[in-house]
Amino acid sequence: MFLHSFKYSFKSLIRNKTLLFWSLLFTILLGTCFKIAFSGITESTENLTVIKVAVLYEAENPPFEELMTTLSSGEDKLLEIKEATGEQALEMLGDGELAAIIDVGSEGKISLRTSSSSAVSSSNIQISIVQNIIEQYNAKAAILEQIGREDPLALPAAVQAVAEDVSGLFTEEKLSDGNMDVYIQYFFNLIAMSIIMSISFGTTVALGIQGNLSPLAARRCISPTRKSVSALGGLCAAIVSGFLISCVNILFVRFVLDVDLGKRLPMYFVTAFAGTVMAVCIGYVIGSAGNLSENSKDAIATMFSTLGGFLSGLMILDMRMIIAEKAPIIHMINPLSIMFDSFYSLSMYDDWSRYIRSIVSMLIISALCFAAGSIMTRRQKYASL
Amino acid sequence: MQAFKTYFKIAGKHMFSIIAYVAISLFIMTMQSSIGTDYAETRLRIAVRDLDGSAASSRLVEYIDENHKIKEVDFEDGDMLFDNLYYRQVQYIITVNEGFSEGLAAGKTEGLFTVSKIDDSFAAQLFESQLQSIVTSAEALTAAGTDPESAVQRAVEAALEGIEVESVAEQTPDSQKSYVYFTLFGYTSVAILVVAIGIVLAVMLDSKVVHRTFASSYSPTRYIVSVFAASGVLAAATWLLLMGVTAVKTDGVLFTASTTPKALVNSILYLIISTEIAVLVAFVSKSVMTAHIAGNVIGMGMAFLCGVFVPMDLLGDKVLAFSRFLPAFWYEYANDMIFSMGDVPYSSVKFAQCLAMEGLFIVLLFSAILLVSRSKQSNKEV
Repeated sequence: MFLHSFKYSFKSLIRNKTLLFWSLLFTILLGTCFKIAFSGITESTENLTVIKVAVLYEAENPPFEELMTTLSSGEDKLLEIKEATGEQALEMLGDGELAAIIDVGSEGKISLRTSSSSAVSSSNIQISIVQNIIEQYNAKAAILEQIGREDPLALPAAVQAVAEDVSGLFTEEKLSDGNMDVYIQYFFNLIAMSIIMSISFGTTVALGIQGNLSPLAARRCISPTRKSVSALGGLCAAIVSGFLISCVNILFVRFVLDVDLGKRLPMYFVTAFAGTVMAVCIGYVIGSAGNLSENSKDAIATMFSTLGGFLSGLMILDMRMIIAEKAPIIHMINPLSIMFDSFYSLSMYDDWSRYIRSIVSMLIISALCFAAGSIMTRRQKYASL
Repeated sequence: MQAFKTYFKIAGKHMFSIIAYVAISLFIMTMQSSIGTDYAETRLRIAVRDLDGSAASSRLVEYIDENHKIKEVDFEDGDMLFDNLYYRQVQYIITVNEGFSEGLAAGKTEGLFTVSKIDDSFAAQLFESQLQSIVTSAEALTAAGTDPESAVQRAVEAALEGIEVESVAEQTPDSQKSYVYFTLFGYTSVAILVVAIGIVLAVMLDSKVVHRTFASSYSPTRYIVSVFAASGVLAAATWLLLMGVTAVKTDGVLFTASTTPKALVNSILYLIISTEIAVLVAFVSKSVMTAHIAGNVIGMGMAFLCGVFVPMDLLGDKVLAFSRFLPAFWYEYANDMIFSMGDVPYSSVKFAQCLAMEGLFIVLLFSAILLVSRSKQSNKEV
């Protein structure tokens, strides 16, 4: 009887074409949006690019001119200096063609004009760098001036020290060989979100065995099949359906969108399986609780997944870390955070302990939800159907 | 009128779900606005460990603290350290190695620091160049006979001498507060309306209900118009709620800022677009769950591509060229101009162009709804 229930539940689930279509389309469309939006964003937010500036000299300053020439020449040049008069430079600044105007005044005074009006403007990064260049130049000039004033004989040694290369100052210690691109998190969250959508399959199964909520369930209730067998068959079918969709989504993200998910791709499917079991069991609890209509239970399920996605950083990256710090319990029990964590640990860590912890957490949540759902639906009797 | 009334009876029956979803959207909105958007923050978050413990190294750590934000982390917990770096909670991890002071005095600067960083990041390059400058200056001073502690002290003092930076852009900080809310409206309006309208229309567009209605004297056109009108009222209520929250959360700036009228007009046009998207999604999806998934795809897709979650000036030119075909792009573009937040200065012609484009999307979406409803009627589904 279990196999019978499994077979027909599976058929029924995969024939729900609208849900199937949107579940697949969610990852495909949103993943494509992410891919388009985030291609090259790391360069514009984190990596250095050539900075366009205009330098306006009120008085001659040969050392600074030399510095500007050095920084604006060669293949790895940091600055691109635009030739312009004062008015032209201001106009270019207003149009966003320049990051800043460097004013070299009399008595060596150097100041900066910017048009960055936005706290989120990428040009702020560039302005900081230009500002830093000038401050460093001023600092070194001031130090040499002080030494020249205090002990002129020591000046040659000081000048030599300033000219010396200090590139060996830093020894780098790599913490991980994983993909450090912060925007890959969006894809982890997207896969987790596509897995959690199996919640709707769990809800459908629960609604299908409650006689007071749908005519199909009413017919099932009066059949001789035990409710537990019917539910178990339905849940297994839901898990298989959800897992298949998740697998397609993972393969799409990895091979079609060409997102680097690390070297342990097969383990993503293990997470997808455990995650689908968890999602279906959560859906089973939501579907079993109370006498709310199908639409209301669907709405609760959607709220659950939306909120979970938000708290796990689907919409804003920092959110995950903020929740982990400020509300660690929510972070620990949020199914999407748990799934995200397993993908993250697979991608970043060689060590398995964190991954195993995530899988165990998913299985515990699944067991608790299954038990709660079973308790709520068992031995329900209806006076009239 | 009967269909109109029924619409709200159904909405009332599902009020719990609608309110809960609105509450979640408001929570998301409030949380995001409180986080702010500090993509380009220039004070870096640095994790520092001083193994040298000398006066010179302590002064250097003080300098880092004065110039940046030092974040306390457990250097013994490798996982936590990496998590902090990966999530950019710290942008640079540095250990001042033992022997820093002696190395400086002896002119041996190799390996003074052990660091972990995001390779090629501006933060790493900026911070390293600052430290290099301090060490170079301190080296010059020690070469001239100054002791390491005083050398670092004087190098730090010289480095802290800032320069004059003048911003030529006009900007009122108060308006920034409401900017965040208006920007997020680009996502929340779609997200709320797709679910709220989807819940009601899932019942009203159920084929059995529609067949029974159309079998009565109630004309299909009146039915559709009533559904539209009621959806419009629901959308207007949502708009009032979101604007009310914006007014409260921005301490009433909404009532006084000169940018408000333009921002409100822009948001009303976008509200109409969101309502049409919600109705269209309800027509093509058959349940709340599918409406939700579709709403998420459309709402979040547009939000990511059109500058709601990621500022428009960080998106590439190709992305923006594509985004022009989405209504949220014109809404966000107009917003950026109104609040002087993007790279493009405000121009009344460009603003009018944005509104015209939103108007065009309103017409297109309305046509799409009519087309879908006609095709459903002809297929006898509706």
